[in-house]
Amino acid sequence: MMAPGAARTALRPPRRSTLSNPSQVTSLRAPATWDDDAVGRALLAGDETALAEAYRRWSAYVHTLALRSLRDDSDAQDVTQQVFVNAWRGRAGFDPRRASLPAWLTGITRNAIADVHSRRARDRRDHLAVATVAGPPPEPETAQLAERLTVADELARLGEPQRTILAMAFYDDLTHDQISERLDLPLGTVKSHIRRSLLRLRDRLEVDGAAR
Amino acid sequence: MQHVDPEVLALVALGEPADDATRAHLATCDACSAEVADLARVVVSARSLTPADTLVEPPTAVWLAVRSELELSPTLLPDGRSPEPSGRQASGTATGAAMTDAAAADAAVTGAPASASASADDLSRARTSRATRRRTPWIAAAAAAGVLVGGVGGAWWARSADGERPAVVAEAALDPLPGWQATGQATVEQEPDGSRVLIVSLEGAGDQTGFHEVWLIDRGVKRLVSLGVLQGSSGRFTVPEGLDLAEFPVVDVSEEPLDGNPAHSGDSIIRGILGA
Repeated sequence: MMAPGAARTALRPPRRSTLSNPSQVTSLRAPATWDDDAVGRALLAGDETALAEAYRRWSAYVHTLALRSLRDDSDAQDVTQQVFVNAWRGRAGFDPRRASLPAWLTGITRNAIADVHSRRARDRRDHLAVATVAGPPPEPETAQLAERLTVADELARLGEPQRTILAMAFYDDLTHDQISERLDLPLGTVKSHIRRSLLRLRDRLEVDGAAR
Repeated sequence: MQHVDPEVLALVALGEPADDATRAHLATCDACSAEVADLARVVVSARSLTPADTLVEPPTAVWLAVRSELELSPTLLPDGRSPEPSGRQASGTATGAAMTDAAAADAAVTGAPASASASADDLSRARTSRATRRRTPWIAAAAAAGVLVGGVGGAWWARSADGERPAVVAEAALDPLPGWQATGQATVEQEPDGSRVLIVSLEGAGDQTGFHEVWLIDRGVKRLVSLGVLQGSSGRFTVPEGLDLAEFPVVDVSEEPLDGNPAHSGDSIIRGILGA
């Protein structure tokens, strides 16, 4: 890709302005209503409610990434536990300017998964003398898997009618005018939902990429 | 240089045919072609998803282990609510959404409205949690949240306590259509005799002028099956035997005028796709 930095900046809608006071947010509104950035700020501020909220939002993603890579329930659960424990203990290392919270968690998850893989490799070497290695097939590349699961995760978070529109565009191969006709929504609305939803998915992938 | 309309770039990334002018521009403009390549990466990822890419929630025990290892507040739950006022944080009573395990358990027993803001997500969590582990405080809270959504979760809970848990074969969060603020949840249960029941909840639809009708619709939104009238905030509907839910995966709740016309009014409140 050709140095798209400037063009991206021009094309991207402005980011939401940041709230300045996480503790105020915490006390006035239920965590489920916080935006992702607010969860990150509250975590950084040492609010344990934020850890619970991060767990509510991303534990399925973390767990599935570990499960698919490690192919073992117990290891996947251990990794999930470790990721959120590490996120809390290492929260001072979270820098919202460098990565979003889910991107940061992805990084921690990939490290934890890598640790299990190296431990297994060590174990295999230790037992090589007595047994033939006949473990599960090699894990899919974690980065690629993370990208797919990230898309699945974000797709699941889209509201309606965006989710229906994107499902029709992705999986039914319908054009935007066919979608507009079938859902009885104005063409402009369909086009705008398509673009915004794709940008949202792209942004989450991009910030995840930054954490690699 | 006149750039391509950003919305058109998104359509090109999806593979829709571009007109000559757009193609000519993309051939020479790095910025626009980079944007298409960027969005196309998302499209490729999304189209490569398989059912195996469905996210799997960790068992409840994992959160309990995190909480215990970090010595967090023993009542802290990943339930999207504010912590209880008597806990670590002195403030936080303003929302009224705070709920201790004990209060949740009480609410589960009495049906008292401890919170006005239980969400569809809570309902889904109630089901997930129940499927993985029972009789922990979290489950009590989640079950209570289900009760608050409209009695539906309570019914499941009561049944699961008897060990007679119908299998959940499909579910969907129901999201509002433009102009509506409502939310809901759809779950399909399979009874031991093979019959299927669609359970629909609806929250926040406001004052109704007519009535609410529940539909199953195909993905193309061409064919509809009416399952009946939704009275109040939740209801159970028998899915006609032989109806293929893969063919009619869209659950829709509409606002219908009392005009005697049996067709869909076109005014959908919430909608979701089973298994999506």
